[in-house]
Amino acid sequence: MDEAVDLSALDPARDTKRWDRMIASVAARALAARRRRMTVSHQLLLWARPSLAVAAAAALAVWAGALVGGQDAASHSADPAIQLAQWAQEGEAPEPSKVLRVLGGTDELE
Amino acid sequence: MPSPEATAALVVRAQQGEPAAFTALVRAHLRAAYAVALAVVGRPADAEDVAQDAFLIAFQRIDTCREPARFVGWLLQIVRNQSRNWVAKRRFRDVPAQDETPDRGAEPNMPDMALRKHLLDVLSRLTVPQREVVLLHDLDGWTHPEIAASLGISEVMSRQHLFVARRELRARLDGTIFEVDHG
Repeated sequence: MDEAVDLSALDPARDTKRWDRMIASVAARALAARRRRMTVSHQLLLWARPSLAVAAAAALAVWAGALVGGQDAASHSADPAIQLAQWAQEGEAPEPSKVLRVLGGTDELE
Repeated sequence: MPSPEATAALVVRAQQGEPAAFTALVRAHLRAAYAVALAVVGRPADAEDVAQDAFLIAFQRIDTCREPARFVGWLLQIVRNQSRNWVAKRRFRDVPAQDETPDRGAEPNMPDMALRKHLLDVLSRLTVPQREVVLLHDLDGWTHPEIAASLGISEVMSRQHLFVARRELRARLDGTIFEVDHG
């Protein structure tokens, strides 16, 4: 009962030439279908990925730049308050021109 | 059957579009696909068509095959689905099984055709899993571990299916076919 049953009458590979043709045909049809799918739209889709990555990187760079710039601006805007507080704490009486300069004015009044 | 590692390497190459990998995969697994298709559709010519169609579908979806080492099980599931669809469609456009020819394009061989018809009749008395196992084992030379892994059954169940299938085949084909000494 352990011996295999001879099913070779059902074996399509017995006709080796026909079998080889069938294998070649399936592989060729599969490759042709794959090439058809590689159409312009597919190529665009492939290009879209790196393009999206570049756009995302550029957006990140702009955002990071804005963030750093914002911090600078914030530090600038914080300067007068700190300076004024420091003057108040130390009981210093600064020159009006100094006060104007710190508050964003110029030295034109000097 | 090539090892899962060898098959996985071919699948990766096919995913990269290498033509030789497509051919190698078809050469390695077309007969197994045919065996599973035959187990469901019951007619060799139909099984050949289904196996080829299943391969085309598998190659269309090859990029989605996330476990290349399990390509065969994945392929055979496609074959099974295609076979069931084929059977469902055949109910509406049925062609008598007697029209079956042994090898389209080959010279007809009457004793061979009679044996073939007899084999198909006996196989039709088995269950689909029994047919799958006996065809993969005795036609394509698969081992029980390979069958168990690809069909999602235990090795014990694979052996059981083979035992019952062979017993049925021998009982009904007694004196008709020869046994071969590689089981």
